[in-house]
Amino acid sequence: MSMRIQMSTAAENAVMLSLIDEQGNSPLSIACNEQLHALADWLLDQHHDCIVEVVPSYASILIYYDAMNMDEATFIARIQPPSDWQKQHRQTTTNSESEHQIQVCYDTVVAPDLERVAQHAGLTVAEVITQHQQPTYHVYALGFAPGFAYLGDVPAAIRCPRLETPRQKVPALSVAIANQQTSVYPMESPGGWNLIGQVVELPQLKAGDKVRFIAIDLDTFKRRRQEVSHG
Amino acid sequence: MAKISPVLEIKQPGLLATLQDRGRSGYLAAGITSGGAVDEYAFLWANKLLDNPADAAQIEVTLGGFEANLLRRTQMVICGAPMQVALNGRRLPTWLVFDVEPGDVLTIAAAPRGVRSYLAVRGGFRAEAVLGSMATVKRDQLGGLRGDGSALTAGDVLTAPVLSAPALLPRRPRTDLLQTQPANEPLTIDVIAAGQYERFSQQAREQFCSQTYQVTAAQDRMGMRLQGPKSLSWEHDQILSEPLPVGAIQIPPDGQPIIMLVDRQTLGGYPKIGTVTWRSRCLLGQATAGTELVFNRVSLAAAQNEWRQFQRFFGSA
Repeated sequence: MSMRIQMSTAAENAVMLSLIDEQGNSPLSIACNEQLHALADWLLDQHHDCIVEVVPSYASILIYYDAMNMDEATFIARIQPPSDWQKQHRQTTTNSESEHQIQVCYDTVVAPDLERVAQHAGLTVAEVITQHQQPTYHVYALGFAPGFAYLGDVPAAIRCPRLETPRQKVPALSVAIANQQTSVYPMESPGGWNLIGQVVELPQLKAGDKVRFIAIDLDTFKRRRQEVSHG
Repeated sequence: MAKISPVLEIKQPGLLATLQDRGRSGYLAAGITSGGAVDEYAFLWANKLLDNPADAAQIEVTLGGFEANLLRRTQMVICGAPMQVALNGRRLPTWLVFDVEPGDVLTIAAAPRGVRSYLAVRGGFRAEAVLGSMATVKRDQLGGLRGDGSALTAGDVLTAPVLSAPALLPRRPRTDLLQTQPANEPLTIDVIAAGQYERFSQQAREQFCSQTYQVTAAQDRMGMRLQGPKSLSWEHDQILSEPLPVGAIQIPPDGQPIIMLVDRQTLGGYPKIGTVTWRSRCLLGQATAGTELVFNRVSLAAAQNEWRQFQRFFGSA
C-alpha cells in the first residue's frame, strides 16, 4: 500500500498530517491506521523538542507545535519523515501496543438492542453474539468522551446503522455497535449506537491496542460486578 | 508556601458558574478535551491585573445572576462581559482591581451585551487539579471544585492563597486594548484557511467570506451555531472523522457553520472551511444570540504574529 503524507494548516499553532492514497483519499483501514499510529510515535520520539501534543485519529494526526518559536514551513520541513522512517522506527522502538481481553455479558437484560440487531442481520441472537466475539479488534482512535475507543472492524454480517434518535442516557459500560465500529461507553452519556451487552470493567485503552471480547453469563456478570464494586 | 484560606462563598451561581484555568493539555489523544476560559483574552487580563500567574484559576460567570459573600480581605477584578457589577449594592467598574472585606456582598447582573465574566482573586482560586488542570468540563466529568466536572452551586466555598505582598493600586488596561464590538456594525471574525478549505467550491468560499452571519441561541462552551442567508455546500463524500482544533469552523450537511469552542469534542466528522484566530474566538465567547458577524480571511503569518504578541504580552506562552 503506497500512502502519501499531506500537511495542512489547522490553527495558529497546529498542523494536520493526513495519510492519503493515490486518489487523494484517506482510507479507513486497519493497515493505514496502524501506520498512522506508528508515525505519531515516531514524531514524538524524534521531535519532542518542537512538538507540544499529537492527536492521532483514523488517517490524520493533529500536531500542536512550538509556534512561538517556529513558523509552519520551518516546522513541516523539520519533521518531514525520511522515506525509511518505518524501518528506522521498528529498529529503535519496541511494540508498545497491548492486547486486552474484555468480558462481556450479552444477556438481553443488559443488551436492549440485541434482538433488533439480530433481526436487522437476519441472524439469531446467539449468532450475533458469536460474530461479535470473533475478531481481534483494533483501536482506531479515542474520542467522543474520555476513554471512548473506536474499535473495528465489526464483521459485515452484523453491521447495523446508528439509532435514528440517540438515547439521552446510555448506561456506563454498555457495549455498542454502529456500522463497522464497536465500543464500550466508559461513563453514562447520551449515545446513538446499538447496545448489545455490558462489561464488568473497561481497561484503559489507547489507540493501536488490540481488544478481544469474551462472553460471560448473567450470573457471572452480576457476581463479578459485585466483586468489583466491593473492591 | 502561602497559606490557603476560604475567600468567597457562592450564594447564587446564576445560569452557569465554573472554575476555569487555561485548560488541560496532553490528553486530547485519550478523548479528553481542553476546557478552560472561553474568552481567554479577558481571563489573561484579569490575572495580569492581579499579578497572578497566567494560569491562575478564576470563576467564569455566564450571563450574570451571580452573588457571593466575601470571607476575608483581598483584591479582585472582573474582566470580560460589560456586566453590572456591584459590591454591597454600589456599582463597580469591570476591568478595574478592587478591594474586598469580610462580609462584603458581590453581585454580577446580566447586561444587554456580553456573555461571560471572569472573576479573579489575588493568588487565584484553588482546587485539586485533575490531569494537570482545574478547568471544569461537565461532559468529561473532570475538574472544578469537586474534581468531577460539576459547576459551582450555592453554598460552595472557594479558597485562595493568602499573599503577604503589598496591595496593588487599582489599575485597568489601556482603553485602546479593550477592543469591543461597535454597536451598529457586525463583529469582524478573523479566520485562517484550514481543514478542507481548498476543497470547498469557489462559490462556497466566497459566500462564506461575504455574507453576514447571525450567532444563534444554540451555543455553549462546546460550540456555537451560526445562521447565514445562504447555506454552504460541500460537494464531496463525507470525510473520515479528524481531530478538531479549538476555533475550527465545521460545515454540517445543513450548510450552516458550527464554530468549535474550548469544550469541543476531540474528533469531528464534518468538513472544515477554516479556523477562527485566537483573538477572534475570544470575541465570540462574548457574542449573544442575534449578534451579527462577518468572516475576514487573514494569512497564517498575520494570525501567528498576532497570537505570539498576545502570548508574550500575557507571559502565557
